[in-house]
Amino acid sequence: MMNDSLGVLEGDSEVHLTVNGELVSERVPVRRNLADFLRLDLGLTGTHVGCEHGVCGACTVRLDGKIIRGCLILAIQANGKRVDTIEGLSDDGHLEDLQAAFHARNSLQCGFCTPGILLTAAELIETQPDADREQIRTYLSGNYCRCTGYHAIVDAIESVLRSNQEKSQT
Amino acid sequence: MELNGEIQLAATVDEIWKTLNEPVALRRCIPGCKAVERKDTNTFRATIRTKIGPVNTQFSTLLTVIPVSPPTRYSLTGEGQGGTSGFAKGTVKIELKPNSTGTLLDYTSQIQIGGKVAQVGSRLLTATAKKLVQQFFETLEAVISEDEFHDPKTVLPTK
Amino acid sequence: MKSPAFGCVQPKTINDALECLQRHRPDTAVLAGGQSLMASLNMRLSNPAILIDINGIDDLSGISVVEDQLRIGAMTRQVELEHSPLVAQHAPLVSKVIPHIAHPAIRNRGTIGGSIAFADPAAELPACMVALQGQIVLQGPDGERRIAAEEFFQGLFETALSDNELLTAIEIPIAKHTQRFGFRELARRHGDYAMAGVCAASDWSSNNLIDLRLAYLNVGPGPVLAEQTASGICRNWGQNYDAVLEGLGSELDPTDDLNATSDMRIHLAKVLTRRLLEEWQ
Repeated sequence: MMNDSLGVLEGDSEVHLTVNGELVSERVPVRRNLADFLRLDLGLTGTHVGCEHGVCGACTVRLDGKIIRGCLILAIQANGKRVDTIEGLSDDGHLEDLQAAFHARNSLQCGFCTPGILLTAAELIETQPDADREQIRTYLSGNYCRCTGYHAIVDAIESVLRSNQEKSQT
Repeated sequence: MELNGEIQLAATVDEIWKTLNEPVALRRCIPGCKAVERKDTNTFRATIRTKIGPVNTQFSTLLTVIPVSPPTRYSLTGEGQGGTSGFAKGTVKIELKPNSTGTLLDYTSQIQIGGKVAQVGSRLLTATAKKLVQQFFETLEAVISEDEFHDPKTVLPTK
Repeated sequence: MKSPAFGCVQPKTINDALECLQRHRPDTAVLAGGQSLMASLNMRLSNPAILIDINGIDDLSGISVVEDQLRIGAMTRQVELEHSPLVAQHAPLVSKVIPHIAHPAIRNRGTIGGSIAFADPAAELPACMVALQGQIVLQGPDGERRIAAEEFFQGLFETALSDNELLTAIEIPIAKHTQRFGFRELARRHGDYAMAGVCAASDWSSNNLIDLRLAYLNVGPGPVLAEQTASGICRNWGQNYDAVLEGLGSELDPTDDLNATSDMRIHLAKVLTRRLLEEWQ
């Protein structure tokens, strides 16, 4: 296939990327965003669509290891990259501790915001292992929850941070 | 919202009046205007492309020129449909007052913007409307000084 | 709430991008981080014919010190600036400002070049560049040119960038050890657009304030440099500068909106300035 970097992609185009560890090849509309691609083309509906302009956080996924808004990137921009969704990160046990804490502390009700919140919390735990409650709230400021009032969410994340700290001390 | 102001133009009342009633001039003055087509004596259809920040869209506007009291009082009403972006309605009332260096153009305008563009861009509406109205009058000033609209035989009274 | 159709080009070099801009102007939009453009497309407020995706151009990334300038590639993600030791050392005001931009997921994609080129009046980075006397590097068919940040921002979402040019880098004079920097903004919730904010860069000589730059955000169509207020504060440093601060309102040009009236914005600007200066006393 000719690789003309000045050629205009119109209508549909091919994407090849890794999703949850698996190689995926699909033909997608050029204008389709990553969140819609995951849901419509791959059936991965754990990533949710809320505001579609980047503020609510429901569409949060991982791109090459960092959290991004699935609604603010085109599927064709993920060509050659690695995407991890709630399904993959849950299946491979990556979110085990957080999920157990959320379960124990009733940190979800309808669950719409939960995938986005878990992915964001996971990145917080990785990048700020000593975060306090204020820092937890700041990191999660881009994820809206309409049900819980956030308190139980902060409690759950804090408990995971604490237990990680205790484990690293032993 | 209301936007009012005044601008001193180095032209006579008649020259300005003529310009404001000329579709070619309106096309030049209205920011982003691509075409103006006369529908009947006082109505025009204008195609406008707006490119300000996040908004980059084309829409169609019906313009009505009302010569309230020629040649000094004039009103221009626009009603635009931006398709999915929303709508805008505005009326600009112009009064021309001759003075020693030309004409003082006094304008009062009422602008209503609604729909998505207003909802999403509420924090930018006043600033945007202000900018567009200013652009209109700045361009009017430039257009009037061109020969097409300026009678070279006109002599402005000196101070 | 789905984007309208458009064509997309993905150039791999700066020259290819410039070729695309030239070929398809004027109905183009440059896709950098996409954190503003994609939102606008999704809401159908924007309907360009061609999107030029510059995420594949390696030459647009990188942070380096070149002589006495910190050079930051336009496609440098905001998160990279947040964690960069070079930025912390040579442009500490940028490090102070970045955590206030939106949220982590946005900063992982958003770029400094995109923020500057978009010139949202509520954005932090444009005001930061004006305070730091940064230079904006543009590249076009006639080559490279530099323009001072103060001159780059020309009105509401209006900059000196032409539709056949690309913003390729930002250059900031490296901080001197005699300089101090400050940043304050007020937003209703963390990550919201600020109601008002101020970026300050100052120079000192043995505890004496000898130079001050105050650049405000969201109190005008673009970043606002309050020169009279800043020089007045310098002259009155160590004494009472209340009267000088009272005059700040005349240098600002805010408009009313749902979040604040222009009077409130002026008031907030004064409060934030005072708090910032108190840190230095």
